[in-house]
Amino acid sequence: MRLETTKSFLLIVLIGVSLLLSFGLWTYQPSESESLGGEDVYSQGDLGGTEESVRSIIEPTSILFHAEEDTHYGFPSPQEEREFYEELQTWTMSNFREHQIINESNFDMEMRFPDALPMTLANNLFSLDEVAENLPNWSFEKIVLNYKENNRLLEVTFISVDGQHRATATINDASSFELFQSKLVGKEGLIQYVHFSEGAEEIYLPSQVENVENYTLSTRDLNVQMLVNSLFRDPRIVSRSLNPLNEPSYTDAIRELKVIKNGRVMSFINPQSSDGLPSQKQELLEYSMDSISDHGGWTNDYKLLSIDRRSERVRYQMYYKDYPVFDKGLTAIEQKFGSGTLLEYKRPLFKVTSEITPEPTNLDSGEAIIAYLRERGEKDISLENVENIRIGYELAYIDNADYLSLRAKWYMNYNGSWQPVKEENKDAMESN
Amino acid sequence: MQWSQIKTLFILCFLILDIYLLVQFIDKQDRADQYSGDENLTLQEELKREGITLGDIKVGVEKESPITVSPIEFTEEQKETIDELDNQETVINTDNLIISHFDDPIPISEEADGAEISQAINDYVYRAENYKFWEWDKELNVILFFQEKEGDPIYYNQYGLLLVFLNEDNEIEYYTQSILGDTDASHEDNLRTLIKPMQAIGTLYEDNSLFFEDHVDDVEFGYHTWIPPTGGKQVFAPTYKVSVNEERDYFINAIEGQLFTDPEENFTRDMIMENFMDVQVIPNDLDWKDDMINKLRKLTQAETNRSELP
Repeated sequence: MRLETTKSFLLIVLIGVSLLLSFGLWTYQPSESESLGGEDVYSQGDLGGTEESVRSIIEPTSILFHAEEDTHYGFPSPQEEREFYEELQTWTMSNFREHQIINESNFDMEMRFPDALPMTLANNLFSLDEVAENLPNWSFEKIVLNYKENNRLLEVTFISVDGQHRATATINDASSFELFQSKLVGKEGLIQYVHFSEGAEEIYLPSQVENVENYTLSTRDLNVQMLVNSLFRDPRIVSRSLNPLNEPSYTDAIRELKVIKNGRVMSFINPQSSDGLPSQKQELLEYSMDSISDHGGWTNDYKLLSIDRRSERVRYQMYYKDYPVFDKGLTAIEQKFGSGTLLEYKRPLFKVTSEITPEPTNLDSGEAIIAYLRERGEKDISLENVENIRIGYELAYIDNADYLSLRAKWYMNYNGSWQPVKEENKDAMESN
Repeated sequence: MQWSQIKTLFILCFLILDIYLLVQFIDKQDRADQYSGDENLTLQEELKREGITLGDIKVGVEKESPITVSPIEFTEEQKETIDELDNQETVINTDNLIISHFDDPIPISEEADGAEISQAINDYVYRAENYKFWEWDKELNVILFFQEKEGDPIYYNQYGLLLVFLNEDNEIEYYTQSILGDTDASHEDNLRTLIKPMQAIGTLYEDNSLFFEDHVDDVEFGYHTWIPPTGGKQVFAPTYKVSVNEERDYFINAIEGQLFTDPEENFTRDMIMENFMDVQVIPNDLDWKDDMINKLRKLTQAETNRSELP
C-alpha cells in the first residue's frame, strides 16, 4: 500500500513536470530580439505624400509630331501633352521584338525621355500585351511612333541610346489609331513647333505660348522628425543640436541629417562602407522609389530626372502645373545608393499647401526665343552647348515667410545645367 | 493489482515524455541564448583555419548608448588654474584650445612606455588624468593622448586631444590640448545591448581585413564619431577598437557592427596643420611664438615631403 501511494505521488509529479515543460517550451521567447534584428522596427515616419509608381514618375520631356514638308507639331501645354502620354500608356502594344537592322529614319511622332531608361522598364511604362521577359539589356532615351495607314496600325520603336539597337511593337487598335490620325493628319489640339537646329540636339519649341501663369504659393514645412524616424536605424538614440544659424542637425554618430538653406532643404548622409557591384538602373530606381515612398516622401509633384548607374545616384525634379521648377538645389530630390543602401539623400523640406491668385504672364514666343538665342550666340554663349530649351518656373522665396513665387521663364539646358535663357540684369536693363 | 500496473506504465511513459521535453527545452534555450555563440563557433573554426589567433578580447561593457558632448566653456576659475600650471606659459585661444610652452623642457626617455609618459606629464597638464596615452609618433616626434569620457577614450577627435611636441633631445617643449565639455545626462535612458567583441572580429574577417596568421591583440571599448566635427555638440557612438599584430587598429561600431574606414591616416598630420594655423594667431608678445611656428612648419613640411615620395 505504501508503494502504491508513492507511485501515485510520483505519477502526479511527473504529469506536473510535463505540463510545466510543455508550457515553458511554448512560451519561451529568446530575449535577444531587442538588440538583434531590430532593423527598421521603428521606421514609422510619414510625410504625408502621395503614392507614385514607376509608371507615373517617368514622363517624356517632349512629344512631337513630324508632319509633311518639315513641319512640326506639338501640344500647346505640357498638361495636354501629359494627358496624351497617359492615354498612350494604356494602348496595348503587341508583337514586341528586337531588331538589329536600322530600317527607316523618319518618324511620325517622337517622345524623348529625361534620361536613358533601361528596356526592362518597358513592362512598367506601357501596356505590353504579354509581359515580355527577355527584354534586351540596352537603354532607350527616345521612342518613336510610325503611322501605317495601309494596315491601320501604329508601330512603336524603342531606339537605343547609341542608335545601334531597336525594338518594335505594334498598336493594333482602331480607337488609338484614329486618335493618332487626328493628331498627325488633322493636327487636332496641336500647335506648330519651331525647330532649333544649332544646339547639341535637335530642339523644338512651341511657336506660341499661351496660358502660362505665375503663381504665389503658400507652403508648409515638412516634419523633420518624421524623416528622422524613417532614416535612422534607432531614432531614440538620435541626438539633436542647433548650429549657429539655428538650423537643427540630427546624428547618431554614424548618420547625420542636417536641415540647411533656412530650413528648406534637408541633407542626410549615411557613410556606410559599401563594396560590391553597382546596381542596375532599374534596381536603383526601385530602391530609390521604395525608400521615398517608405516615408511618404512624394509631397509635391516630382518626376524622374536622371538615373546615374556609375555614381548610383537617382534624381527627381519638382514640377508644378506640369512645368519643371528650377532652382539651385532647392527643388530636386537626390539620392545616392551603395549596394542597395541609401548613402545620401537630399530633398526639399516644404510642401505646397495652396495657391494664391495666378497672374498671367507674357512669355516670348518660340521664334522670339530662338532669335534671341542666336543673338546671344554671337556674343557670350556658344549655341552648340545648348542641349534643350523649355519653359520652366523659377522659384523664389518671398522674404522669410512661408510663401514662394513661381515665375514662368524660358530655360535652356546649357552644358548640363538649367538656366534662364534671358539673363536677369539684361531684362531689367531692357525694361528701364 | 491492475491499476498498479497501469500506474507503473504511466510513470514510465511520463518519465520518457519529461526527459524528451527537458531535452527540447534546454536545446531551445541554448539555441536562443547561444545564437551568436553558435555563429562564434563556426567563426572560430574559420579563424583557426586561417591561422588567426585571438588575445584577450573581453571588454566588460554590455550596454551603452551614444553620448552627446558639448564643447567646453572655461570658467574664469578654470582659466586661472590653467594659467597657473607649473613650469609653463599657456594661451587659450578662441576655440578653447590650450597652447603651452614649457619653461624647462621635460625629458622623456627613449624607451618610455605609455604609463611613464602619462606620469611625466601628469603634474603639468590640466586634467591630465582624463587623457589616455595613444601613441608616440617617432617619425614626427609627437605624442598623442585621447581624452576619456565616461571613463573610456574618445578615439581620434580633434576636440578631445592632447598633442605633445618633443625636441631632438626627446624633451617636451610644447603641447596643445583641446577639451570636450560635459556629457548630456540623457544617455543613461537609452542604453542598447552592444554586439559581442567576437562579432566585431567577425565583421573584420568578413571584410577581409584579417589576414593569414594575424594575431588579434585585444578589443577595447571607447567612443568615436563618423561625422566630421563642426565645433558644436558632438555625438559619439560606442565603438570597439580591435588591435591586430600591434600595428593595425580597426574601429567598429559597437551597436550596429559596421566597420568604418581608417580614421588614423593623416590624423596626426592634419592636427599639426590645425595647430600650425592656431599658433599663427596667438598674441605676438609671447617670445616662443616664432619658435613654435617654425617647429610646426617643419613638421607640416615633413608631411609634404613624405607624400611626394612615390
